[in-house]
Amino acid sequence: MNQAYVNPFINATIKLFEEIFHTTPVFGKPYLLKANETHNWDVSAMIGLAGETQGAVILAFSEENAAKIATAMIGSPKTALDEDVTDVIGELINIVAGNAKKDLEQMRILISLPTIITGSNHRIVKTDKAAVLVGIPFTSDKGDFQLLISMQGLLTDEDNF
Amino acid sequence: MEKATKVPTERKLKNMVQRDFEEQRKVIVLTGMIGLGSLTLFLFAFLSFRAGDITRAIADIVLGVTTLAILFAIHRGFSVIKAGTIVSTLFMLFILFLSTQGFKEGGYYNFWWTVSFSTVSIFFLGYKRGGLFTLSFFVLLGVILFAPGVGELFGKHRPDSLFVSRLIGVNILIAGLVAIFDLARDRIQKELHQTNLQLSKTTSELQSRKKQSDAIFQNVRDGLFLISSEYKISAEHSASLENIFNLENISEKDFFSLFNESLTYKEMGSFKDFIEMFFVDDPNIELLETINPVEQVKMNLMTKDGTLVVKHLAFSFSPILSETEPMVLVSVRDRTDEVNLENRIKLEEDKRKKEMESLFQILHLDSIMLREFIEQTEAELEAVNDILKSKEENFGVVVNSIFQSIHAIKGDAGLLGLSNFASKLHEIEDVLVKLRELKTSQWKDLLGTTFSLVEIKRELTEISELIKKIETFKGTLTTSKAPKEDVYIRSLDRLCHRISNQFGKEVILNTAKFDISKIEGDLKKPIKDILVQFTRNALVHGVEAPEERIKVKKLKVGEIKLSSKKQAKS
Repeated sequence: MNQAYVNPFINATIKLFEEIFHTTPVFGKPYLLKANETHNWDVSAMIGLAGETQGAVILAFSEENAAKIATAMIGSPKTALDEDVTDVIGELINIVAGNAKKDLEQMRILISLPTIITGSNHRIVKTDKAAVLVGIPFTSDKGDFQLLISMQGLLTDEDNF
Repeated sequence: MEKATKVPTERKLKNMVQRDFEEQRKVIVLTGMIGLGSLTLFLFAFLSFRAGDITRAIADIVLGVTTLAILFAIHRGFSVIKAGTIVSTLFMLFILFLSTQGFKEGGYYNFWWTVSFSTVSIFFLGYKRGGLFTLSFFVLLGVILFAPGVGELFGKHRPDSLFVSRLIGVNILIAGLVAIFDLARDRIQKELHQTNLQLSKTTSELQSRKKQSDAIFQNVRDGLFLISSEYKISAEHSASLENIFNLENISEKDFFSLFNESLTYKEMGSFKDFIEMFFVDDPNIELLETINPVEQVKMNLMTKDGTLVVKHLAFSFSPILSETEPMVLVSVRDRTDEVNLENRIKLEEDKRKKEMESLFQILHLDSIMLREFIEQTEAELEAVNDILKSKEENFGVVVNSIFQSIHAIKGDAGLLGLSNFASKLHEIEDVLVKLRELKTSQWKDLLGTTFSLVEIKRELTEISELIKKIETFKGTLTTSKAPKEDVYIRSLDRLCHRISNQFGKEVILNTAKFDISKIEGDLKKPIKDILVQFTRNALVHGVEAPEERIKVKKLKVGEIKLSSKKQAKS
């Protein structure tokens, strides 16, 4: 794993919140998830990665937080996961993917079109043999979420160990 | 003029081309002559009317109108040759007619028109046809002048022989001159035509050659160009040159300016000296090839949007010897992809080497020991993850906790002799120490560490898979017949061995009276750690070097006794 591959997504996410919601999300302690742990995610937006590294980047939200963010975006209050909310999540992930894409192309990484997954308390089970995900919790007054990363690929001489 | 639609032969083509020039020329002459001529004729007609000579007047008018009609027809597309023939015939008849008038009236001026016939006919019809016409005209004139009885038909006034001889002389002179002139013109025109054909052949050859060299130049992968003695890049260069350097207009640029961001001041100086050596009278090419400083060079090039891109380029130089303008041919190859690939391969090889080393280290070990190690490591990693998932906000506390766990894993790995694994953990420790010292550390800085932990986890998974493979390969499953307690002692044993080797001492560990079974599960690890410390200290500080021991009459090999004693139940 190389932090350089992940930074574009982190920066794109923070930038998105700052530009759209005028708030800077707070970066929490990054930790490791075992793939079959249960969490309170109800909607996830996933971007697949291929090329120099393979894996996925996922933004995961609980129903409550997704609704909170959608409320901030749309204006009318939302409390449950309906089509509007998933649309908002879809839009957000598209913006993040778009902003990250430029930096990634220089590193020869291709991204897939984002996928939105809903399901209460769903898990993300297997992304590679070791099935390890790095999760970064973000908190903001417009809603909390997690940025999950699973990657494997070539090491370069800019390894961050 | 409308041409036939079927493809004409070479000869016909030649004639068509020739006629085009000539026809245009002739049309102009015709227009002028007929115009002037008919005007004159109408004037004469008027004068004749005045003088009462009706026949004469009518003849003039008829001729004038006819010629004008013919001119009109020519401009509408009538063939010039045919028109010329008609006009010449009419003109001949007219002049002959005039000459007969000379017999009638005695006005010799009528004969002077004869001189003009050769010019008109030869100019219109060329020296061949015109010459024929002129010849026939001379014959007819001769008949009129000399044939006995013909002249008297027209009148009594016969011109005298002096006049006739002069007339003949002038006619021949002018006819001759005009014929020669037209002959010469014809020859020159033919030569010109040939030259034109040659020229267009050469031009099309040159064009197709240029197409070929353009094709080469546009598509050659390497950048090719010349540099002048002023070190300017030539205007003619391969198209790829501009792609290699990300510059749009590279012609006449200073060659050395391409290297501004890539060479140090000193390197640039010696590079300039090197290039200068190509411009001397007799450059030593072989020597210069061996000292080429940019045979392969890492270049920093600016892109159009201001970012810097790194390329690995290979330059080669050939002097072009010339008395007037010495130049150097430069060839640039973009080897960035190859170099990057080479570097990658090397990295992969290093990685493989390390993996092989790890494999060998693991092969020596007992699979039960390894399993225990993996269990313990997983437990430590759980602890790390727990603190990361916890609500603890104090940066120092979190980092310290992680450090302790990593340190413990490192120790165990060291015990087992997994030095590659241990050194990776050491690198993580270093990062944590640095973070701890910085006052401005935030959680984001731990991201790298978290990624490293992913790698550690992966390696653990790989090690356990490796163990499975080794076990099936060995065919024997070390069963739990070997008491677990042995593992404990054995790892202490190994520690003993390693440290004694390290310090050049000879020690054995006596654990005969050491009963592990009495120690309960939870306490095993901490007690083990303590024992490890004790053993190490005893070894380092308590046992002397073999030579020393012999000196003081001790046994060469020292002994550390580890024993446990049961105390009263509490």
